[in-house]
Amino acid sequence: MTPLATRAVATERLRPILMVEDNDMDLDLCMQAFAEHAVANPFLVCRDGQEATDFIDAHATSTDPNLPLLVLLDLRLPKLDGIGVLRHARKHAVWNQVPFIILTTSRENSDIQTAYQFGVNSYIVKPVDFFAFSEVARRVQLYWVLTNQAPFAQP
Amino acid sequence: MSRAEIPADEAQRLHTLHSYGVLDTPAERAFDDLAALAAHVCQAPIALVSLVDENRQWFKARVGIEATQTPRDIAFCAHAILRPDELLLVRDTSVDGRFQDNPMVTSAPGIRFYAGAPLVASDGHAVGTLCVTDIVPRELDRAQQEALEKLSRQVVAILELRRTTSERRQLERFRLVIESVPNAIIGADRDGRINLVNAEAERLFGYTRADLVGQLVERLVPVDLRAEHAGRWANLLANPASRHEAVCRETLGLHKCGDEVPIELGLTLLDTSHHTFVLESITDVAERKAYEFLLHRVQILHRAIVDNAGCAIVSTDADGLITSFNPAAERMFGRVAAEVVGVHTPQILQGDEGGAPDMDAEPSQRALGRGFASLLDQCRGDDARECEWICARKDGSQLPVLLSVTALRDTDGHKTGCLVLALDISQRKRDEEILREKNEELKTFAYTVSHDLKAPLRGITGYAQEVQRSHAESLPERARFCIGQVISAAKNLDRLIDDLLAYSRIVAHVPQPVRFRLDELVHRILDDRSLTVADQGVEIDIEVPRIELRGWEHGLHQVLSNLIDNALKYSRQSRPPRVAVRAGLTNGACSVSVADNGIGFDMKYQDRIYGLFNRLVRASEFEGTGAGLAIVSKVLEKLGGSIRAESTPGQGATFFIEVPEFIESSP
Repeated sequence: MTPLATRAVATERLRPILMVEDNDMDLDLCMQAFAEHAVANPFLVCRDGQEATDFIDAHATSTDPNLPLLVLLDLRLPKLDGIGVLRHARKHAVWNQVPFIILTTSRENSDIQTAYQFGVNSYIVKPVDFFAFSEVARRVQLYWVLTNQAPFAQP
Repeated sequence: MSRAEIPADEAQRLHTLHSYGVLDTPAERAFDDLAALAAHVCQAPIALVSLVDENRQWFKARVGIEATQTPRDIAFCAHAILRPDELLLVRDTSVDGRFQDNPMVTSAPGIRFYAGAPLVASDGHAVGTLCVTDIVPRELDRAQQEALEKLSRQVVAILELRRTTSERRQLERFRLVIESVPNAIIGADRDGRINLVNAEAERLFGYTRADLVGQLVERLVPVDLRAEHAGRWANLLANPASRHEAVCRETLGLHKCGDEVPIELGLTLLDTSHHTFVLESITDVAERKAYEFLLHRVQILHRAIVDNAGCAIVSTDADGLITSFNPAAERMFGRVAAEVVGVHTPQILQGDEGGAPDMDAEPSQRALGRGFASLLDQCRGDDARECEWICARKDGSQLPVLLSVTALRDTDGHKTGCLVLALDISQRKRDEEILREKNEELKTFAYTVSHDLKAPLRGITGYAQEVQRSHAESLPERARFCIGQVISAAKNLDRLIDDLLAYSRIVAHVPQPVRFRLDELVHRILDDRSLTVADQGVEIDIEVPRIELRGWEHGLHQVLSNLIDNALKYSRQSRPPRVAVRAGLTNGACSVSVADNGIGFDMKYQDRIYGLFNRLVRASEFEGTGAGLAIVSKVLEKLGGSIRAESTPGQGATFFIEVPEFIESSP
């Protein structure tokens, strides 16, 4: 088994991509998919909601090198769910401007509506098929990493 | 001057005089003629028909004098009537002690002569005179005296004739009145022999007049009431003023056929100049008794309902004070009727409602949140106002109730109070809470399935695909086949989970009705599948007129999508594939059919096809999980619709669905 990506601190010039995901395999497959599309940004990972809010509180200035380019957020998380993390982030002056993408299994209308209500930028349902998953990663990179103009300058 | 004595028979005399009914009536030719004859025969300038009343003499006819009456004190005639059988002759008033200082002698008209013949009625009483007078003393010969007496008898004859005619007329009028009153009237003499019967009495007792007249009145009284009836009569005859006590509100009469009829009886003692008789006025109260009986039954029913009802029933008067408080209300609110009736308004039953409005409450309840009093005030219309409410028991505990408040009105529409019905819904509230929890559990379950079950599935697929993609060359043939099977199985499981979720979502969904066009819906579904239609070269044939429906649009969208998808799928091997959609309205129902020329199915399986995950074809031939028609049938169940199919294997299938035109859900 490929060693799982672990929490790291970004050292490169590029802003990191923050993943909030508790499932090992989902995390690994996701990193795999991004790796296949040669995403150069470093990956930071939080394994539950509490860890995510702690991370948000710890990196709350626009000049912080660990302030992510975007956040990939699962909805179902231990301790505090994805919506809780989102609400926490949206109260921050700086984190309020960070793009959040929900990456989840749920197609429930109520989940989608709640996520947008609390200011999510995009909502993506995780496909079971890896090639489809890989395609999602490619499109995220194409749009959110390469096309979209981020609110904060590179550190 | 001496005043005339009062005759010994004065009372009877006056009675007779009054019975003629002649006093103060206009002049009549017959009397005028007789007075003129008297004046002529006696060669006198003045002649009068004078009637002596209690305090005056009044002239029915007069010749040679203007006055119409004089006081009795100075009347010559008052003297004349003291001797009914004699003519009073005064030859010279100036030498007669009775008259010499009479003002009519001493001054105008200065009467010196008087001759008066008493008017003697058939009963012997003298009621007045026919008299002649002169202003000089003189004599009246024998023949003249006799003529005057004869003429006086003529006056009496005319008076009596006049009275008889008038009596007849009155009697006739009396009969008409008696016949027209709505009461039955029976007249009888002192001995109880019937002498008067009106039409209503004939109807009420079933006899004709001829049957009854001359019979004893007790014939119309039931045997066991005769003694009582006789007592009532005896009391009336002994004491005529007892009429009011003789009114009997409820007794019985005896009909000719032997039936006893409920009546109201009034007895009156009538005294005429000729005879005394008893009038029985009888009112038929059968109808009233029937109403009373009905009312009594309704009251008993009402009492039984109010006393045994499971819901609290409280009524108020126009001032809002409680007027009734049934046993269920006593149990529900922990108060006894005696402590609230006439003392409190229903306000005493109001529970807490302070603080911010409860946003989970029903909207109707929030709108009325200003208080129980406003709820009572608002019940103006005839329709009951119904809402959920929190009431308080005497011990302070709270009780959720379903309240229904209705205005009570009199026949003019004025509000006379309120009727408040309260149903204890605490059990329902608990059940609803349990149901809500169960639903929540079910939702969580579906959520868990979608998330937790799919995560490992993604792992299986992901890693198997990685092996297939990156390490296939190093694997033997069989291993590569196995990896392919793993991926295929995992994808099947993924679809199954999706369909299972879709199905459970439909089951738990509470539809919100919207207005939509069926024709537009069908075209939208087919537009969404235009790529498939083009790829497979399907001939589409739509005949759907403009139909407007109100209901669960998304549900019907799901049904038609599944049916059309099935038609496209199972006809794709036909050359060319054909799919036809038809719709129409009949008797308030909307019917839609979806037909294809695909593989069809054997009708012996027609009941199996709607079961969840039941399939008639192998997955290797046509992909699918077998949830499609199960979802269709579940949605139609919720829409109040139905589905049936017709098919022949190898020749296609047609599915017919029917839904109500107006698919109303609860408001």
